[in-house]
Amino acid sequence: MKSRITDALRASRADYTDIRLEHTWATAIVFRGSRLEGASSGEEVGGIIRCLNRGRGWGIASFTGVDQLPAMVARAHELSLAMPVDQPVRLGEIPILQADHVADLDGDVRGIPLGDKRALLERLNQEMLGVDRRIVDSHSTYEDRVTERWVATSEGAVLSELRPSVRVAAAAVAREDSSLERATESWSARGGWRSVEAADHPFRTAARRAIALLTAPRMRAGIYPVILDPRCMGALMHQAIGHLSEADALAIRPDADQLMRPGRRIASDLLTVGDDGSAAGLPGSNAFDDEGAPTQNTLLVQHGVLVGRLHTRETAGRAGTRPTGNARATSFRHLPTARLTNTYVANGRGTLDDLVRGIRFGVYCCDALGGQAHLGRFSLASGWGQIIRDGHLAELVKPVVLAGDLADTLQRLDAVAGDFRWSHLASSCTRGAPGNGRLSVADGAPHVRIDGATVGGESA
Amino acid sequence: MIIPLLEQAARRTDQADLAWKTDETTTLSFIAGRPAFAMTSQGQGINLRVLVEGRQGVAGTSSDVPGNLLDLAVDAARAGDAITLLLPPGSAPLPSVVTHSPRAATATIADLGAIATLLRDRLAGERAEVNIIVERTLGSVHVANTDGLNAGYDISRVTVAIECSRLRDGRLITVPGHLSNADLPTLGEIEQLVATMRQRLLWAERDAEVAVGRQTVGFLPESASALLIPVEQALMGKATLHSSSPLARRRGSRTFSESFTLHDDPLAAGRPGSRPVDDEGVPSQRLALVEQGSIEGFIYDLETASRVGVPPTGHGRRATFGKPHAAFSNLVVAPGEGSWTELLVALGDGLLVQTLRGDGQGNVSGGAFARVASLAWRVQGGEVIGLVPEITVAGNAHDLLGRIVALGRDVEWVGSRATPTIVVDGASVF
Repeated sequence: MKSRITDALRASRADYTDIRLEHTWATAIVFRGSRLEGASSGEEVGGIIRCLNRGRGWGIASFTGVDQLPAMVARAHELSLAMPVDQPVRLGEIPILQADHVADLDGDVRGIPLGDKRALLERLNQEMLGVDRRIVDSHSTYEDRVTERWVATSEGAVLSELRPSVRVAAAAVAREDSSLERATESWSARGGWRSVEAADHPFRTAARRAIALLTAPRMRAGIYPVILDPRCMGALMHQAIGHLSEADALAIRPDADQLMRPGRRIASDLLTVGDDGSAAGLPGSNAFDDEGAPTQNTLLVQHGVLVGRLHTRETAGRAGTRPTGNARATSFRHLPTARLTNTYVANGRGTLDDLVRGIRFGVYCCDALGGQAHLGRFSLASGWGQIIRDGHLAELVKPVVLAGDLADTLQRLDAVAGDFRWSHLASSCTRGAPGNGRLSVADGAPHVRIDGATVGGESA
Repeated sequence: MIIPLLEQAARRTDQADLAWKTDETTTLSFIAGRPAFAMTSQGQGINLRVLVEGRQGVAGTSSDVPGNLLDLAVDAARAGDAITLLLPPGSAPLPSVVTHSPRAATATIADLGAIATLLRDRLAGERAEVNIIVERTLGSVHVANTDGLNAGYDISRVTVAIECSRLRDGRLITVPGHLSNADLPTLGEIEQLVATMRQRLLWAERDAEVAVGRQTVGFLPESASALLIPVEQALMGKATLHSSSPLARRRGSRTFSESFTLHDDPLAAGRPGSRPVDDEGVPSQRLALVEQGSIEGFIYDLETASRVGVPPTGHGRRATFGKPHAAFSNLVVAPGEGSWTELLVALGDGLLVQTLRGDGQGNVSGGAFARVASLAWRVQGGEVIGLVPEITVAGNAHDLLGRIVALGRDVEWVGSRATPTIVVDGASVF
């Protein structure tokens, strides 16, 4: 493959050319209730080529298969020539690397019969359905994937990567009378079948929580002291800080660009947030991004002040800074855009107990069902909650919706514990340019406390 | 290529069917009125399903040679789900429908670029940044099975997406617009789009206070999906299997306002979901979903139809990978009689919504939605008085479609949905 790519690059007549090729093997199995909804596998090969010429814009060609590679390089060059521009595209400089990154396949999933994978998921799904007669439905999925990826540029970079990933996810639906509750759990690894077999899959946990939520009360609307668990805080930072730090989105949103201007205070001194595509073994980790730039740890917020952004080569070139290794694309059918990798909140001190102590009445928000942020406002639905009463965690409550002005809320962040952990390892992020879809990401945080956050719900 | 594959499949399996799709998309992107990139994207895929001893297996490949595709599908069937499928025979005649335009197929990059520059130049006086994407897709679809079916058709689709953005008082106001058809847009269609964009930008020059609480809300065609998506989900045949459709037991009974009629129409000429045959080989037909407020139909692919025990409706859709599933083709809401002036009068003191952000939160299968309106205007006394700040519009789509106070007489296509402006009473605005 390497010689085919380098031959095609040598033959290109464009001033700049890059090539990205992908070969993917994937399996997906789904159970709904006790019924197998589907079990399928597939293999896909394809690539994308980008060309740039002086005084011209990008010419791009994507294709399936690899036989057309030389013809597609010529096509991308022609398309670039058809796009005269008055403002030249300037690419941020990256180190020119040549390396092969081959991960441990950890019991190559491609050699495991589909029947064995189905049997494993069927057992987990049945365990979940069997927890209680009130579990009336389930949605269980198993996905595995092995990806071989090549990125090479006419500047001399030639990089390759072979890596496996596996994901198992559970959703349990509980019903009693007219009450219906759903709870989800998931697990994933940058590994293969050995990791799948060794893991303790949390299917029963999902079922037990769905049952417990049936009789849980709703939190009354109001302003309360709130503690966010690592999953909830991680999701909030991904949505509210992370996406507003993606430089290409800011380039076309002058209002967001102003809101996220470097040097602006957005939180109390206790909050430091970053994005680290170079962290070992996480869903958003890669040695290099989809433009061949090495990944890195980029600080976005330091002690409450905005300090950084996530760049592609083009946004870095425009801003006169260095690319951050965040150019990511869903597949060879898509252009790379500035996207999050593994977004984290830096550790503080102490434990959850330390944070809970001293709260007379408040709420502990766990996990996240979803959220959105637009400019300075956010809303986030937790997966479930727990009342905090007289310094102790008390009864379970149904999912809690937090909303409000982001900076106002984060200014009231008054404690960050020292119990950092990565989470949402099986989640994916769907933000991006039109048509650009899901990417593997992770987020991580310690427990944090906000001394007054707006909780939506039933009126007090 | 696909017939030898099916002949092999016939020897090793009880039944087999496949869809083979090819496409080539050319995209021109203009950012802030300037050329940004030109892209071509070529793809193809075969999705093969086999039945072995009553179990189905599916495999896909994007390679132009089937390779071990049949082996993969047979392996999948060994671990697959039990199902009885009645594959459509090859003898059924297919209806005639426009899916392809030779003029669009032969358009050059320069022809496509001319559409973008014409739009840019016509909107040059609007003090707005103009982003434009012009996209032309050419493709083919073949469906075949071991019961003798072998059908195919060609596709062309030209889509123009435009956004005019203006920064005013720290707020970025973005007015979107679009065109989509099998053929290149006509000059008249482009001028109509320009006129609409100018009108919306003009409305956005003044601000208006928003009134919170329950009120009359007009959903322009771009935002009507908030009302339609919950209904679409409830009309999926599969939702009746899982008891998750609130409409499942209401077939034949009046559920929505009498003015509301909804069809699935794969035979509409030149639209994104137009086709003579679905991806499982069932001939296309126009299907009544809601007739004068009464629930009349649900959509089924072969598998769901078999499980429910009803005839398939021709709504099988296949991607390269994964099992066939049911999907709507073109959804068409029948127009009403309201002129634009009459719609504004019907709105009274209300909200007119063009753009809703996000996919919505809440219990979608129950009909609930809550979306942020990023482009909406206050209407008072039959006039649009100004742009309102971003605000949440919420309600239950099933309830609101029972409280339609006016339907526009002009239908506008947004992707594969055609709707008039729908004015409903009692949506929550907060």
